[in-house]
Amino acid sequence: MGALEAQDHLQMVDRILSRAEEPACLNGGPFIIWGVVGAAMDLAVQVVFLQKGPPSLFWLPAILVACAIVFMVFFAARMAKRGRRGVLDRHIGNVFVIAWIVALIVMLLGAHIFTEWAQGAVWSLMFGSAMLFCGLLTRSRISFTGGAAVILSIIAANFAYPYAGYILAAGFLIGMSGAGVALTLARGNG
Amino acid sequence: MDELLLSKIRLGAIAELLSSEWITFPTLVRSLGTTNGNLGAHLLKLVDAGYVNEEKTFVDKRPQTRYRLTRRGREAFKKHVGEMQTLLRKAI
Repeated sequence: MGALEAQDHLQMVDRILSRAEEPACLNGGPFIIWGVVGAAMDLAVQVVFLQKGPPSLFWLPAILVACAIVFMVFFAARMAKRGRRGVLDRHIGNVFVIAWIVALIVMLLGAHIFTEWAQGAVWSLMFGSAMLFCGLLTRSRISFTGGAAVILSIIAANFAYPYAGYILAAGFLIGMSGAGVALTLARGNG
Repeated sequence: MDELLLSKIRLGAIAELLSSEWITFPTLVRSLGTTNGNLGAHLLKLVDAGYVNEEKTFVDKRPQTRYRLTRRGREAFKKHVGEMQTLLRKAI
């Protein structure tokens, strides 16, 4: 191989790798649905425990969780039809699965340690951190800002404790679902 | 230098697979701007050398062939690119 041919091959490799470094296009759908689920859980806890609402209200977030899981099954099937699965896609999937599993373990098995709003805060912390990570990984300002908003809602809830559920719910709706809507609109315009 | 990677198509296929967990055959054909037959023959050599894994799956009841880069293929690519860079530096 001559120097000219080597240069040609290296330029081709550079082109292919530069293309791969472009930010992965985050999908807004999962953000929207899990933001709504998180908000519904916080609102249900606020209304049932602090405002003595009927416990049957807990069915609403439970139904939404079931809907979100069904949505994710179809979403995963649609992703499998694509021609390529990037390493970034795998990392994004893994980080949200880990966030979801940790939050679920805390909710189901950590009720004595994570009492009152701690469970809601853990959900916000896990999903907010996952969004921050995805924002950094894919250089997506929308995901990063949304994640920051979800985490900031924990601090705001801490200083307005009687309304913690409303504030954490607003964090999920604005930070996560809002980011999902913005990502969907950005994709549509792109 | 790695003789298998002297081919531009094979080198391009490895570079495409480097940043992906897997890529389907038609996507690789489009990305590399080649023909099915040509790419099929090149990929066969990469699979035989253990640089690339071939997986046959079904999506919507249709067969789908996916390719993944192996650790051996990744190492070979890094070494080959390093050697090409050395060659270029010496020539300049």
